[in-house]
Amino acid sequence: MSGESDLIYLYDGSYEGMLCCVYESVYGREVPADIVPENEAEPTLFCTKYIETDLEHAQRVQRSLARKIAPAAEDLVRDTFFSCADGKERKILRFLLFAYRAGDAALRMRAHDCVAPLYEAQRALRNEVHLLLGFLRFSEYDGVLVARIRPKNFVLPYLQPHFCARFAGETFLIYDKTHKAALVWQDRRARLVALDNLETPPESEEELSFRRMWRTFSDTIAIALRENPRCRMTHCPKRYWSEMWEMPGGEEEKLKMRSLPEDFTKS
Amino acid sequence: MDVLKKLEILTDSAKYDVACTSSGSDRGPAAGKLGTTAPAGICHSFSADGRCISLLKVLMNNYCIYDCKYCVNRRSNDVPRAAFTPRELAELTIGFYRRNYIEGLFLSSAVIRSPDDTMELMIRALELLRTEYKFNGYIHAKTIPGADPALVEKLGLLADRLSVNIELPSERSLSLLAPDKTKQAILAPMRLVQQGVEQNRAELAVYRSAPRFAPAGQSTQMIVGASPETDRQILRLTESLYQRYSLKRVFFSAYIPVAENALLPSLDTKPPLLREHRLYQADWLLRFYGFSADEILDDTAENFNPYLDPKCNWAVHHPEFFPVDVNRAPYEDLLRVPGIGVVSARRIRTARRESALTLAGLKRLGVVLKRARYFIVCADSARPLPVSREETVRALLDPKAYSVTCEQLSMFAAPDIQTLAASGMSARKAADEGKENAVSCLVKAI
Ligand code: SF4
Repeated sequence: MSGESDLIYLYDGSYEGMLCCVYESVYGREVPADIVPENEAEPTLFCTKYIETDLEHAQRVQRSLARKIAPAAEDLVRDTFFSCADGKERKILRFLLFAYRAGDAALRMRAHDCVAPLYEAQRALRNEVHLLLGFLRFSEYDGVLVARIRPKNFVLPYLQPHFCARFAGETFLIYDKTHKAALVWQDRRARLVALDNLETPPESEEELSFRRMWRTFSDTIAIALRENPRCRMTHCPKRYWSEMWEMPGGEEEKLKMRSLPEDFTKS
Repeated sequence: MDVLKKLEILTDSAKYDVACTSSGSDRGPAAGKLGTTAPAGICHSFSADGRCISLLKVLMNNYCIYDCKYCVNRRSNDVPRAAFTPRELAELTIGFYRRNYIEGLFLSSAVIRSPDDTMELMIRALELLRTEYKFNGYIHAKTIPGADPALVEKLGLLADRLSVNIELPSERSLSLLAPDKTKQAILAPMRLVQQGVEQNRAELAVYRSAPRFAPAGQSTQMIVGASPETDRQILRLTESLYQRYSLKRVFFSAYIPVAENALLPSLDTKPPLLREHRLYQADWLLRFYGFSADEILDDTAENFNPYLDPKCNWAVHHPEFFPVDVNRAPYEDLLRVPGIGVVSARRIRTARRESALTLAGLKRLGVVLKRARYFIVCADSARPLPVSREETVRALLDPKAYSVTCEQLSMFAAPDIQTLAASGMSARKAADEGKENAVSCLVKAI
C-alpha cells in the first residue's frame, strides 16, 4: 500500500459514507491525507476526491469489522464516528488499516497509537451519553414531553434505547440543538429527524410548579455545612445547566424561561 | 399546608440520610407501566454540597415519638412538622419521574404513633405508586426498627432496596444517644431482609414469575463522629455487616451538630469530612480490592492517617510487598499498587497479553504514574524510582488534607491543621506545618 498521499476524501457526512471512504482507501490502495464531510470542507491546496455513498460497499466494510477484527470493533468504530473527536474519520481509517492486519489483538492494544484515540473518543461519547441520561429535563406540553439538549457528541441514537424503554407509553421529543436533529417517540415508534428549530407553547402553571418544587427540593437537600460548589461543578459541568431548573442562575425568572440565551454558560 | 411547603419540610428532615444511590436493580420496561431501572444507577443532579441527587429523598412524615439525641426530628426538638398523604407523595414522584428529574423514590419516615403504624403508611404510599400509578422505577424504602416482620416482608415486595440504619457504631452509643432503639430492634429486620432476599433467590430459580423481594438488596448507614468509636472499630463493624448480613452498601455520615447535649460534640464542631472520606476509601478497599479490615488498620493504628489514603498508607508500611512487576503480577497484586485502580488493573491484564507494557503504555491505560512509579517495574523500567523514603511519602500525600484556596482551608483539612488555624495561625502556614509534621512522622514510622 502506498504511503500518505496529498489527497483529501470528501463524503456526505453519513456513517455509511465514511465506511465507503474506508472501502475506497483499502481497495484503491491509497491513504488520503484527510477525510472530511463535504459541507465542512474548506478550500485547500490538496486535491479532493468525492466518495459516493454506496450502501453495498458500506455493508462490506461494516461486515469486515466483526469478521476480520472482532465484534466489539463495530461499536468502537461507530462510537468514534458519532463522537466529536477531531479528525475522527482519519483516526478510524488509521485504526482499521492497522487492525485489519493485527486482527482481534488490536482491540486489546489500548495503549497503541492507532488504537488509543478511538478508545478516547468512545469514552468521551459514552460519558456524555451517561451524563445526559440524568441531566436531560423534560417539560410537559399538553401531554407531550419535550427536552432540549446541546451535546458535543451526537448522542441521540444512544439516548434512544434508554428513554424509549423508560417512557414507552409516553410521547416525547428530544431536540439536539448542536446537531439540529430530534429524536421523536410516538405511537411506540422512534424516529430520528433533522430539525432546524423547535418552537413550543408557553409552559402551563402545572409545569412551572413542578419546576419550582424540584428547585425547592434540590436547594433543601443540600447540607449547608458541607457546601462545595467546586465539587458540584466537576460532577455536573456548567454547559448542562441551561435546562436544569435546580441549578443557580436567574432564580424565579429562570423557572419561567423556556431556555436560556446561548451565552448563559459563559457568564 | 400546600405540597410545596410539605416538600420543603420533609426534605429538610430527610437530608441527613446519605444514601441516594439507585443502583443494583435491572428492570426493563413492563407493558402499561412507567419506568425502568438502571443497574449502575443514574445521577440526575448534584446539590450545592456536591452530592449526587438520584432519588426523591423525603420522609413520609416527621412527627416522631422517639427522641434520638443526634436527630433533627427528635420529639423534643422544635421544628415545623408535616406529613404527606400517600396520594400527594405518589403524584409528586410521578411528576418528577416523567420529567426525568429522578430515578425514583427514597422513602423514609419518622416514627408516627408506632413502628407498625408508620410502616403501614409507607406501604400504602408505595402500593398506590406501584399499582394505581403503575410505577416501575426505583424505590428505596427504610424499614422502621421494631416493626412487625410481616410488614417488612410487604415492604420488601414493593421496594428495590431496603435499609435499616444501624445509626451508631456501638451498642453503648446507641443506648446513650438513641434510648428508644436497641441493637436487637435494628439487627432483627436486617436479618429478616437478608433471609427474604435469599429465599426469594431460591424461589426465582424455580418460578421465574415469583414476585421480587428487594432485588437491589439492603444497605445501612451509621453516623461518624457523634460517639467515641475509633476508625478501626467502625471498619471492623462494616466488614462484619458485609459478611454476616450480606449488605450491598454501608454508608457513613459525618456528624453535623444539631443539638446542644453533654453527650454530643459541641455545636461548633465541624463535621469530620476527611474521616468520612477515609472510611469510604477503606470501604472501597474491602469491597473491590481484596483487603480485610485488619490489614487496613492493624494493631499499630486505631485511626486513619489523615494525610494518606488507606491504600497508600498500607503500601508505605509494607515495603516487602514491592516492587510489583506489572507484566507478570497476578491481578490481586496489581490492585495493591497505589495509582492502579480496578479499571486500570483489568486493562493491564488484557493489554499485557499482546506486548510488554512500558511506562508510557501504562499511562495510556489510566495508571497514575505519579504514585505508581515508586512501586512497580515494567518493560522500560527495571527498578522502581530510586528515591528516599521522604520523597515517596511526599508523592503519596493526599492534597485534600492540606489544600488551601483563597487563603482558606478546605472543609477536608486534617484535624491538626484545623486546630492550628483555629489558634490564629494563617491557613497556609497551618497547612504547611501540618503537612511537614505528617511527612516527618511517616518517614520515622516506616
Ligand atoms: S426515630 Fe430517631 S432518628 Fe428516626 S426520626 Fe425519630 S428521632 Fe430521628
